[in-house]
Amino acid sequence: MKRSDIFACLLMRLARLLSPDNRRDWMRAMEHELPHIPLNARIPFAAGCFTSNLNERIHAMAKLPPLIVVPGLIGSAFLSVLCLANGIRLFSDAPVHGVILLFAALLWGAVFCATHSRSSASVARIAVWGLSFYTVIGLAGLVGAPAFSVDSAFFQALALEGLAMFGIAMVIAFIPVFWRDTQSTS
Amino acid sequence: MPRRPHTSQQAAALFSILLKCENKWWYGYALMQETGLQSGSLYPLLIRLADDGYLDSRWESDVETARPRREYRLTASGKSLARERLARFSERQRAGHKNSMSKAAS
Repeated sequence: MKRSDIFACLLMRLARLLSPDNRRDWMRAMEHELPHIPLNARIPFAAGCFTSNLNERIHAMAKLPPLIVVPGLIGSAFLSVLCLANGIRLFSDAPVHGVILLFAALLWGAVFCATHSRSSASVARIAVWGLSFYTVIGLAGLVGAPAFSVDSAFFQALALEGLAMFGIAMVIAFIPVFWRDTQSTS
Repeated sequence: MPRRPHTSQQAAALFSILLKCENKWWYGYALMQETGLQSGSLYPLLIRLADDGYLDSRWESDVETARPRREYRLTASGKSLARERLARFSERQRAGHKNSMSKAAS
């Protein structure tokens, strides 16, 4: 078995782990198609199957009751803002890193707002990717420098600033929804 | 606002292939080759079409194998949707072409 084949099989296994129950048949269809793909195209094929199943998993999550999804999203967003603030604090000596992180945070906010009014699935998709990204950066910051050990006031100020930014983004995101609801009820 | 389903360029490419031989059963890889779509675009499209009742699928039965492949073709409602969407798509393309021509002329 070639190395690329092993990697493709590994990706398919990961995809199977992600696949929601109602998509198991589709997952099996993708797995049974793999041996018929030329060797050099198997990894891109498996990667596509992986992203398809990831999307299906997120789509299935988005069908959860809003009472579970909304607090989960807001809670994880708050966590990511805290982590992001910590990440910025870690890189605060190198202004370029701070600017990149801030720009990425704003970009994520803009994409979040733009996709909010389209459908719950796309919101969940963007939010989960964005939040995972920032949580990873923030956690990397936490590993590098414990958040509350040094200069906790600065960290808290950044966290508050991040929270305020997130609040504004949420308000902007919800305006089209409120507008649509008002239009549909009137 | 929720998007109108199956109006993307990828969906149009898939519809045109599936309509080419209306009653033929297609394998996933054959569709990838014909449409030029990657698996990450093709399978979500197929899944949505099947969910909406526009796509029929079955496990191949004429080959003795432990790993049968899945085959796909449009249902009757899928065929009419595909024709409607393709007509709309070519109309949109024509309009785009006219606009670009008039811009170039002015």
